[in-house]
Amino acid sequence: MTDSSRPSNEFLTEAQEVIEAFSHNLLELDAQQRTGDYDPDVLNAAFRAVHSLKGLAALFGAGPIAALSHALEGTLDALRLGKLALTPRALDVLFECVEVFQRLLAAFGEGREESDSIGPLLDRIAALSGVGPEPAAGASGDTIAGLDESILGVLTEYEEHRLRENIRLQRNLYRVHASFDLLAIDVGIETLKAKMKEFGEVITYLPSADSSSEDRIDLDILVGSHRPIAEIVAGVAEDDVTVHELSRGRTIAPSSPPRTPAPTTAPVHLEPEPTPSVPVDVAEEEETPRESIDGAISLRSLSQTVRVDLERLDHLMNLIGELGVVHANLGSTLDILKRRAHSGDVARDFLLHLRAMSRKLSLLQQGLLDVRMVPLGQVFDKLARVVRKLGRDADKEIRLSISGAQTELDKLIVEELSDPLMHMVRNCIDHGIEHAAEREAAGKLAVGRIDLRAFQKGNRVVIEVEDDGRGMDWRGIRDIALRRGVVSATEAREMSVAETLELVFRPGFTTRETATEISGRGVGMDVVKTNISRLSGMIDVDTEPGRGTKFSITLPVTLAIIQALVIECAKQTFCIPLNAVLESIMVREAEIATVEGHEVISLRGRTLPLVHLSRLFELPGAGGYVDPERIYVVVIGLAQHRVGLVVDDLVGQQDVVIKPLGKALRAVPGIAGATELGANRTVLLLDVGKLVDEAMGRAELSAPVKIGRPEVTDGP
Amino acid sequence: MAREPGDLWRALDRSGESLATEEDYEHGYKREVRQDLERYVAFRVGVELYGLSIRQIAEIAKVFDVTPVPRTADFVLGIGNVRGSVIPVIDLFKRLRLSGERMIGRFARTLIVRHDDELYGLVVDAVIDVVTIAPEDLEEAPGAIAGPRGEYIRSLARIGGEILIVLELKTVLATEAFIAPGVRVLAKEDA
Amino acid sequence: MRQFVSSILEATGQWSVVEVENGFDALRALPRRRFGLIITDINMPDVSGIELTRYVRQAQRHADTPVIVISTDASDTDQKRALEAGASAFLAKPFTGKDLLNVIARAREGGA
Repeated sequence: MTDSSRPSNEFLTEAQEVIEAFSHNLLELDAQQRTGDYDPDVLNAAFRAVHSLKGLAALFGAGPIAALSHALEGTLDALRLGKLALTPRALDVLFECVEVFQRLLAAFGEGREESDSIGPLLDRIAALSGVGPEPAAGASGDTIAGLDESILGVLTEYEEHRLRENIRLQRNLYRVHASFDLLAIDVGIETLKAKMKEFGEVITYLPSADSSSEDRIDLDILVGSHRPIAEIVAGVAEDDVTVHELSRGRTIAPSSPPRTPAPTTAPVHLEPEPTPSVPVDVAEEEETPRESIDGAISLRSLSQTVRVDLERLDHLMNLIGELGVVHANLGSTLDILKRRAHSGDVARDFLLHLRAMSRKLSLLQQGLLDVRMVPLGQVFDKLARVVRKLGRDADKEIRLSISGAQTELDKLIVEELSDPLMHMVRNCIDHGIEHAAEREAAGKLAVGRIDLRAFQKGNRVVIEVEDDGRGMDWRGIRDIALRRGVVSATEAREMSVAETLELVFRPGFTTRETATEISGRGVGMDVVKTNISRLSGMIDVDTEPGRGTKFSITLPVTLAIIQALVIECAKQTFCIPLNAVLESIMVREAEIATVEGHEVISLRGRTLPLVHLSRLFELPGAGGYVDPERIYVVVIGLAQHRVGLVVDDLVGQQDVVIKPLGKALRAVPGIAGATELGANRTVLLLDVGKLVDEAMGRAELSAPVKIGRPEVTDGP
Repeated sequence: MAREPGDLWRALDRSGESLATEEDYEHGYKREVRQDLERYVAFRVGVELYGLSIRQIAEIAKVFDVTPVPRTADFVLGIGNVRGSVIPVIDLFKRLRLSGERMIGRFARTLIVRHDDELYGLVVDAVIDVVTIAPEDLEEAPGAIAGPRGEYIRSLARIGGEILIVLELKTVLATEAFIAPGVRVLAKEDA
Repeated sequence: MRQFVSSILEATGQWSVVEVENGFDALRALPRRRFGLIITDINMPDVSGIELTRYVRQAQRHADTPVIVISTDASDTDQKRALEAGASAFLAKPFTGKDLLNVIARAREGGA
């Protein structure tokens, strides 16, 4: 056995870390406890920390530490089960344990015994157990309104306690049903968990066998949240996930009356109801009338704006796209009309109206695009509220300074940014900014500072979230990554500081447990990174221990949505950037001539070379024309270099978000990127510049280039 | 059935009383932690068993629809959409130049792997298990395996009498291989 | 704890032990093999021992497999619910190897 030969150094370091984590948990609990409510996960983490310490101490024969942690474990268990109240006095004793742990550990390290010193502390711990909490709301044995008996029957005592706490806090209870592939369950559950955690508390997971498949597993997740069901549903927005509301957050405690809906003529003050015996945490109740009163300004602005579902805008955008196609068809009709005799006046009128229509159409399009642009200030305001609330919860005074709130981005991007930014700001407050005392000791202002900046830099928008907190300890991050197996020892040795910091964006690194170990930064940062990359953005981190941390998000402005012409060719769909499309025309096969083996048509007196997209791309089944009388030609390129791209069908115009193809496919000539067209359909975006170059190069050289198609090789 | 408890007792006696203490239970709490074990997802492609570290795998998905991309190598199935990102999806069978008939059946899965900070989808015939392999059980750099497929192999391990081939993503996902051979020249000229 | 339990089981020479980290890993492992015995802690993050037991009882493959649930304290509620969910036996920590083997023997007789 290696036990005895292990250097006790290892024990000292590890025990020290556990004690620090425990102490950190206590600090969090202390801050939370003052606001009347605390995060059960933190208490649970404290319990687990002490449990690990007990195991470690026993292993290395540190008797007094084992004895103390054994006693403490019992107390923490009672606390997390609500059998003991988390009073300031209880916290005092717990904090005292941290001190004593540290003394005992030091003594053990020096080979001294200090067993006599823990007696009185053990007594104080034991004395705590005599103090019961206020009678728990609803004695056990109560049924819980709206809750299936079968659910209650499988909860552990702790889970049931948390369930009752959620009811006491008047949260709604939801049963979120999800189905996972067995092998992917870790990943799936982590994603869902992170989302649920934003809404409230995950009470438990109830697995059940999916009768339809051995490879799948059904999970019912019991969640307590203040949010209405619509928000939860919108928040999870994933396939295979459904949300049921189990009950209104009705209380089972007769002492706290059920929440009554406010009458329409809401009085300014809350109704003089008897105060519940357990104070309700006002900060949690975001929707109380009291809160909305001081938001009078936002009430007025509400009356001047209309909230429009983004989907409706998309619908309008698509309609405009279709109008664009109608416009193109009218143009073709005009051409036919002009060829008729005696049509001069009519054709002239027609042309005038068509031009007017074209102008209005592009104004309409631009207008609609403008409607989608919203200032980032919308999100920043939301963040300001979060900072106020969380700062209060964490008992930290924080000044938020905002600049660049007027920077505009597409609504879609702003919406998607809101969650990641919220998460980052939350991290700043929870883990970045120290408490006033610690700050003053470090020679900083007692008031913490968070800077939110947005600005345009070239064709990119940069958003920065910076705090002046304790910064991130890159050595700590490296050690933890090493211990978690995120990197190997060799990798860790060779990593630069910047690379090490990048680790916080790796999944698997940012677990809850790590959160407390490394000054807590980077919780869920992998999710943040995923969300940012979804917008084709990048995120960087810069930190200076003791001075603060800065996260920078860079978003390409061009991600903003481009207009594209959607076409079909050989049963595949492609998009062409509209700014590269001169016009779309319809020709008959008879109009196509051949010059030196190249197909051309005559367009307004000029010769236009034709290129068949299906042949260029060697699309399967590329053959003749769908209808020789209706051949669609998209004229692309610049003034001097124009090419007619022959396609099978014009589908319409649409605004699309360009997504990069990644390193592996970036070099494919003729493809600029990809985009999504409804229903998760991924479609390629053509690189018009390259296609024109290719076509022109080919025409000029009159030589076979690469694809051995007959019509190319039979040049001179 | 009746025989068994007796055997258990005898075995316990053999193992000594020291096993049966609360102390040991606490010791055990610590002992289980071995830091250098790595978990691998084992999957089958053709007749052989392959593996990738679980750290390289972001997700295991059912085979999903992809959009073919012209001018790419035959093993590139196309691009697909995974949680909002567009990722290339390849057929590992074709990529490894395996021979023989095969169809993407109902056990087929797409492994979403992370390589060089980007995601890729690898279609495999079936995902078998998640296995734990200690570094000493990995046979590094199998120089003995020559031939065209050697470059895709990072190391070998034995799993239940079968050889598990740990793939080298650096070569499997070498970007220059993605573009169809004839097109590559042109792409370079353009660059 | 896990190591302790498996060392006892392996010392008997009768069991080959598959260890998993947590409830979710257990959920993944279960459909892949037939197990002769399942031992779980009651307090696990996410999926608890009771919920795991309930799942095991639902799944065709392990409907008759003995399940032993271990808990730190002998909470009456937890014990009752574990048994109601279909656990074959309940074992309160701390326990000795003999306790464990006793409980296993009892659970297996009950299950047979």
